[in-house]
Amino acid sequence: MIKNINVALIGNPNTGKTSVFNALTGLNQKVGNYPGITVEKKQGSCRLDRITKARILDLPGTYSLNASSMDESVVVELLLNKNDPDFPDVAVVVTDVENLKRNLLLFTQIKDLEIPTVLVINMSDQMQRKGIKIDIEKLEEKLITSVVLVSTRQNSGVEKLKQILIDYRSISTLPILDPTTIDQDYFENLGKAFPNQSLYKLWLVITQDVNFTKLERQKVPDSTQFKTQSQSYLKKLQQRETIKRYQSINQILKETYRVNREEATDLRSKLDNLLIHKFWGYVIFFMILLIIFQAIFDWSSVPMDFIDSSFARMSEWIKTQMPAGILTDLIAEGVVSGLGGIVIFIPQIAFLFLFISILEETGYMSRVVFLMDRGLRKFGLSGKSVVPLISGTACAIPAVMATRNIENWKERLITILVVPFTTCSARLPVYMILISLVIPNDRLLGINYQGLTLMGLYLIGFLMAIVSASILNRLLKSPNKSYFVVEMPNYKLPLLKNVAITVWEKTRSFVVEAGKIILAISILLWFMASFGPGEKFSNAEQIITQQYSNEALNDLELENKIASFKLENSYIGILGKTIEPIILPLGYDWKIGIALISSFAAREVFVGTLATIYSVERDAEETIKTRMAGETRSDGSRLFNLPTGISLMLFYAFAMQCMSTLAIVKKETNSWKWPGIQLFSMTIIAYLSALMAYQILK
Amino acid sequence: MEIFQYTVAIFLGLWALYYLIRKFRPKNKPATVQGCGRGCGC
Amino acid sequence: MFPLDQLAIGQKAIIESIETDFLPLKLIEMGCLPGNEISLLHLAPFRDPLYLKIDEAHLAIRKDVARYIMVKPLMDD
Repeated sequence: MIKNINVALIGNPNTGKTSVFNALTGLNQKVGNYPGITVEKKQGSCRLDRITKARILDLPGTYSLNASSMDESVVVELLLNKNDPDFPDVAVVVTDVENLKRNLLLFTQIKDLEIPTVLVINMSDQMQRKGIKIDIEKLEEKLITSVVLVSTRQNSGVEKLKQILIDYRSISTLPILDPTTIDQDYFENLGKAFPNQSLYKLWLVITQDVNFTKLERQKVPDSTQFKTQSQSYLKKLQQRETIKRYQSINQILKETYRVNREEATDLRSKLDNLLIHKFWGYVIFFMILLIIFQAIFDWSSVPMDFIDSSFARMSEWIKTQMPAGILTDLIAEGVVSGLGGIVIFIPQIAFLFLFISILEETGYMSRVVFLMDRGLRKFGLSGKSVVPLISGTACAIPAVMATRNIENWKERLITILVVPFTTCSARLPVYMILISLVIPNDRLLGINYQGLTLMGLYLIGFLMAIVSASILNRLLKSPNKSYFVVEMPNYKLPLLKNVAITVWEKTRSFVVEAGKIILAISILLWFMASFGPGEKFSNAEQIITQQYSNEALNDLELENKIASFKLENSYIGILGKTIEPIILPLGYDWKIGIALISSFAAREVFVGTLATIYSVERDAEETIKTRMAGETRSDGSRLFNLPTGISLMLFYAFAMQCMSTLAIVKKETNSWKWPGIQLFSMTIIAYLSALMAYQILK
Repeated sequence: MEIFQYTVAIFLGLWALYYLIRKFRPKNKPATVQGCGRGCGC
Repeated sequence: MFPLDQLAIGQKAIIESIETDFLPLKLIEMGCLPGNEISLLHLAPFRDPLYLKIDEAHLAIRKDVARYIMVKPLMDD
């Protein structure tokens, strides 16, 4: 009979909590979301001995139980709810050896919830280098618990931790702080009103929404009389609690913790002097950006081309191997191309997260936040918007998710709203084919026009993001004060295992999350393109065969004619015709209209759709290009001329043509209002600038 | 064979429709819970 | 005694008082309490944000918050 126990890992950010989690669980972990909210929920399992299995929950990093963000509130909610299936049998507080004092604040709070709580002091390999000595036995005695020194880097201490977890019942649940020392009257009254209840737990429930108002809380029966106290009074009490805790922690550490500053070597100040230098700091940051872009656009092009051609081949293979019929067509044309549209982004997303996780693991990212905060704040963004803005150049979806650690709601919202303007890689295939069609492949002073145009499109996207951010900054009201507090962690070498797990997890969740949406939309688009109402669609073959009966067309040409005629009369073709009057002033015809509509699944579908419309083999770019170049208007002029090309590029640069992003924005803001506003205003901007470009250049 | 192909194709189509509707439909859970990071006018 | 944002780089000081209504609790929890030692390590351009060492913690805050922390500089010892 195997015994299951619930273990919760809790700790400050930057204490290597995730490393401890990875050391315990390895790849036996899964990442999901807490129901209804977008906070990441990391769970894993670990066999402690032959008969005990631990379910380990890696709770979001938090500095204290006084929650001030969604992530932190998850921790409090769980620890206050005994009925939660994840409620821990034993809590493990992970601290790091250098910031023990601050980390113990959280430890004492959790201990006071009367849950068996083990203290893990991580990064113990740093002790000697930093000149730190800890009297573990005495610390155990003072904190009334077991203390384990762990080094995930040297893989020491983890076994001992497992042994302690097996025997968790022997850990004392005695609290450390007596709440009545915070405010005697208040807490004595509280105790009288709710006898037999832990005062600290009651107090946490009451103060839960002092810092964080929109929380779903479990109700304390009639706690109203204690909440009538003004918020600022409650906040004062919270501060007094913090002070009290620090007093007792200082007392404990005085007897158990020694630091010999002489022995400490100062890597931090040396690196800081360079990395946040007023000039060199920025130079280094932009160099790193260059490398990241190089990786995303250059290095990943090799695997991307391979994926692209593999999927095209797979589609062909399915067509020849499976019995002909509607399902075969759906799989070959709808499902496989839909899947290909997702898989092709894996190299870019993986590279992106490789760099971001290395930069975060080393502690460099906080320095970037520090460097960029002032500049970005002018536009209503935050230093913490840097990561989303960089991620946005690969894909807006991970970028929107990366905004979670921006504390200030207004800054977070503005970041979410403007991030889709940055040139995501789905726009790249569209730009590529349009540029090669309408921009001459000439050089001026050694600079290639086509390359210049591409760079211009990247700049224009970024500029639009900044401009709309500053407009939003003026429009949006925010009663919030600044809550910008960034910890500047020590520089560390990244742990390969952590980086690998992050890259794997993020890439996987991108493929699964965005993938299902893109797949579903591709399937629907296929249906809309493969069926149509009325005679014209069903009798397409007859009509075309008759029409061209006196021209000598070979079978292939005839087939192509039939296919385009069918598309024209399919549901999606009719849709394209319907919107033609609206897009005519931009220089587009109904065929481009179809491509615009199907681009809502994902922008890069543009090329594929045009390929279908011009009935050429998918992905034979040269032939699509020749066909597109040969397309004419009713007056005989070229359809894809410079004005139409520029107009299309601007439209794709600004339009919100990505349902998956809208879905993520909806999820992250929990309202239809913001994705609605995004869709509406971005489309207007796109339409107007495309209109202007076409009418001026025409 | 023909019928089999039709059935599976329609099934896939219905799944896609169902999935998208479910994904984009406003949840009827209490929408106030997370909304935004903090107390603010949203 | 003067507000924290007027401290010079490299200067050490003692936190004299804090205006609790304007400071995020998180800052206080990280050790920004009267009596603790504070030093200004770096400034970003335009003297904002400020990179501080408070007690043991290294962190960055914005100028608009730093204004609410009153400090008394320590003489070089």
